[in-house]
Order: sequence, then C-alpha cells, then structure tokens
Amino acid sequence: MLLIVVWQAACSLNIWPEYLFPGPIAVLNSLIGSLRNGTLLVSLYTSLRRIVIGFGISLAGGVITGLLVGRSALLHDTIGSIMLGLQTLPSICWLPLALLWFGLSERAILFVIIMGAFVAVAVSTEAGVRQIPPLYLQAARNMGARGYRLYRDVIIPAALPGMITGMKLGWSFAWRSLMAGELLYVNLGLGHLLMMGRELSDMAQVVMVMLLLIIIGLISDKLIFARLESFVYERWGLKKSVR
Amino acid sequence: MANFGLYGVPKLLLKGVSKTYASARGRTDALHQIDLSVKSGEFICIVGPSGCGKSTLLKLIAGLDAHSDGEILADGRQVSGPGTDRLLMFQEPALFPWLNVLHNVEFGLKMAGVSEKERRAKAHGVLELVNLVKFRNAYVHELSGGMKQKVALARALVMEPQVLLMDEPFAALDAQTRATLHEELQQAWLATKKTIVFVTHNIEEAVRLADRVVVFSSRPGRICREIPVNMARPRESYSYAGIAALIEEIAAELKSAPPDHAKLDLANPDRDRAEQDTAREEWCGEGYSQKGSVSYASHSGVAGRLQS
Repeated sequence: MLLIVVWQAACSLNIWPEYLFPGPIAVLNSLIGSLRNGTLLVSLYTSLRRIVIGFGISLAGGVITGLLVGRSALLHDTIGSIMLGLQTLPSICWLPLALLWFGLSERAILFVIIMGAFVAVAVSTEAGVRQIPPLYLQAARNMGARGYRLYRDVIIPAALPGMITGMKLGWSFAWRSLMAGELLYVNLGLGHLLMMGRELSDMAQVVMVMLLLIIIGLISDKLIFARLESFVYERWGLKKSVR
Repeated sequence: MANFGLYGVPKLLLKGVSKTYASARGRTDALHQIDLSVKSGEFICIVGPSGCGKSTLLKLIAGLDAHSDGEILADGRQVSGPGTDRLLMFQEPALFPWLNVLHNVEFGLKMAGVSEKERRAKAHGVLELVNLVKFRNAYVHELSGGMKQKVALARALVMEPQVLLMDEPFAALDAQTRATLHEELQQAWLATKKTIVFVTHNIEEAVRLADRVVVFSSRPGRICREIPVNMARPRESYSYAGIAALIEEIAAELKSAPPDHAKLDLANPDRDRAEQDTAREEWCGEGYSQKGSVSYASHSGVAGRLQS
C-alpha cells in the first residue's frame, strides 16, 4: 500500500513524463479499460491455458523420465547427459525451429514451453532419485518391495523433495519461455498484450501487464508450491514445523 | 525343545563362505572361509574389530549382496536373493520418513499383499510388544533414536521372519537406552523365539544377549572362536558375576587373536610389508585398546561391586 502511495507521489512530482513512467491511477485505468473491452480476459485465459497444458505435459513427462533415468545407468549415460546439455540452452532458442516445424500456432509455443520446463523437471527428479539413501532401498528390497511397488511406495515418495524442486523450477522456466515466446511472435496472451502496449506507446498497459504477471507468480508460488513444499518438509522432518 | 535338538536341520548353515570385493586398487578379501551353523531359535552374537566383515556377512545372509564362494543355506535352501524370511536391521533405523510409525511397521505386509485389516491388527500387536502403541501416528523425525530402533525392530518382527539379522542396531544409542532395548529385545526374543544373528563390537552387549558369541578376526574376516554363554534369561546387566568372567575371556580372546598375516603372505606374496604393519597396528591399537578399555572399565565396576 505504502509502495503505491510512494509510486503515485513520485509520478505527481513530474520528474519523468507520463508516457515514460505511468502512475498507479493510469495503470488502474488501463486495467479497467482492458477488462471492459475483454482483451485482458482473453489474454489471461490464453496465457494460462498455454502454461497449464505446457507445464502439465512437462511435469508428467519430466517426472517419468527423471525416475527412469535416475534408476538406470544406461539411461543416465545417454539421455541424462543430453538433458544436462539441453538444460543450459534457454528454451526460447527453440522458437525459430518451432515456428518452422509447427507454424505460428499453439503447438509452436507449447513446444517452447515444454523444452524449457520438461528438462528442468526431469533433471531435478533424477537428482531426487539419486539422493535416495541406499539404505532405504536395501530395507525396502529386504521387505519384499520390487518392481512397480518399489517405485510407488519407496522411490517416488523418497524422491518427492527433489520432484517438488523440479516442479518449482519447471514452472518458472515455463513462464519465462511463454512470455518470451509471446513477446516475440505468438499472437494473443499476456506477453502479446504487453508488446501491444509498447507498440502503442501505452506504458500504462505495459506496467499493468507486468504487475499482473507478478501477481500470478506470487499466487502460484504461495498457494501451490509453498504449501506443497512445507507439507513435504514437515512430513520428512527436514525443517521444524512452523506451527 | 525339538528345535534345539542335535539332529535337526540348522536354521542357517554357512559352508566356506568367502567374499571378495574387486576395486580399482585390487581385490579385497572381506570374508574368508566362514563356516557357521545356527540352530532354530538360537541367539548368536558376532563380535570382532571394525572392518572384519561382520556386517558384510549379514548382508550376504540377507541376500542383499552375493557371496563369492561357498554356500549359504537357510532352512536347507540356497540363499540367492533377499527374502522376507531373513530380515536385516541396520545400524541406522532406515525407517521411511514419509510414513508414520504404523505405516512403517505395515510396510512389509503391504508389499506382501496382506489385507489392510490384517495388517493393522498385526502391526498393533508388535507395537505393543515394543511398547510403542501410543506413538503409532507419529512421524519418524518426531521419535528419539531408541524409539526409532524399536520401530525398526517392530517392522522386522511383524513379518514373522525365520531369521532376524541385526547389524549393530544399538551402537548409536546412549548406554541407558541401550540397556532398555537389551531388555526389550530379550523379551521379544523370548516371546517369539526367532533365530537372531546379532553383530556388535560391544563385548558386554554380546555376552548379555547371546546364547553363543562368535569371535571374528580382522581382514579378511574369519572365525577365531565360538564361546557359548550358558546363563539364565532374562539377563540384566551386572546381575551375574559370570558375565564379568565371560567378558574377560572374550576380550582376552580378541586381544590375542592373531591377524593371520602369515597366511596373508602366502595368499598375497606381493603385499606390502608396511601395509601389514599398519594392519597390525589397527588390530592392536584402534581396534581393541579403545573398545577393550570400555569393557574393562565396566568390568572393574562389576568387580568393585562384587568385592564390596
């Protein structure tokens, strides 16, 4: 709240012209305007749909890949090293190829998101699997756990802390890739709305979209990931319970 | 009792069991020609210096590691992999942190496909045996070290294994907790009559718990001597003068046990002389002076009390 007051005060001093540094009132007006004409809701819906689908595929695929690669020396030496290489590549670099392969379509942007998030999830899950104390696996084998049950009842829960790290990382990679893609080429979506603001020199709209992105980021972090994390940490006894 | 009979099939039979690890630096003999027979319902303690392969032996019996040579028979059948008839308890409790106490205890039964109702009833039974029923909903990190080992014991007992293998399970606990657990283990053993092979480097612990103490020499591990402990149960610490005498006997045994370098020379002619000296030093220094003095200290305590 104080931040907004300071922000408005700074604008009122007219140090910078309005078109370079919009104040909160201008931003609020822009928000109301874009809500009225529906562009904001369409953009929000498009972006969220893209991220949910892209991240969902990355999460499912990444967890399965990570679990398999973490348990197999052969897969680790082959796929594992490829994954490490891919991880160093910002996923937006896939955009030119994606556009060539899929055209200017939803599939192109989903591909870019998945290339960013999938590897992050897979690498973290694999690390989670590798960090399982061998003692757990010995004890489990000794008590008759093997095959699918070993995965379901021991490996997956034991690797869960690593998987959650991967989820968080994957989510933020997915967001970054999505925004980069939308800013650069792809139609609709929040990134596109932000770019429109730039092209129309409507800085109020740019700032409005930026704030919205921050809010979405905070909500997803606080409501989903922070809760998951504290649940696992508490249960595993990695951190003292806050309560 | 029939299963203590002379002519019955031994619960565990080890014939010439050896284990060799191959590494970049060459081959290491961990165990050499172990012959051991354990009767059903017998409580065996294996004592020996650190690195004598006694933990390795338990892993071989559990089937978690493959032996290089010889035969391991459980109930007359070859051991070729892990089985729930031979359960190993580790020095660390190895409980699963994502499960509460009850679910940890039920884990093996769940793997075996036992119905939930039956699982719950059995788990409740063993938790009663180790006095932990009221902690059944606690998570692992909320338990003390001694409680964790009791849960690990319950988790093994609930499977009704033929043989319980215990790898220094109480080594990390304080003396008081250990004494309590000795008592509870003896009670559980008297109630269930499991065959137990218990590895420890604590001579007093071995004498208190075992029907027979098997003394190992250091690398490669081999059996130097077996000492029967014929004392009434349940045994309490320091309650018998006989314990003191036995402790002394075993400690002396461990001190005088030759590390068998002469034979090593034959097996490994190019073995470095300096390395052997280090090994000997380890045997006399690190291996025993420390642990021996602990036992002697408690022994003299007993003696003092006996004199007064």
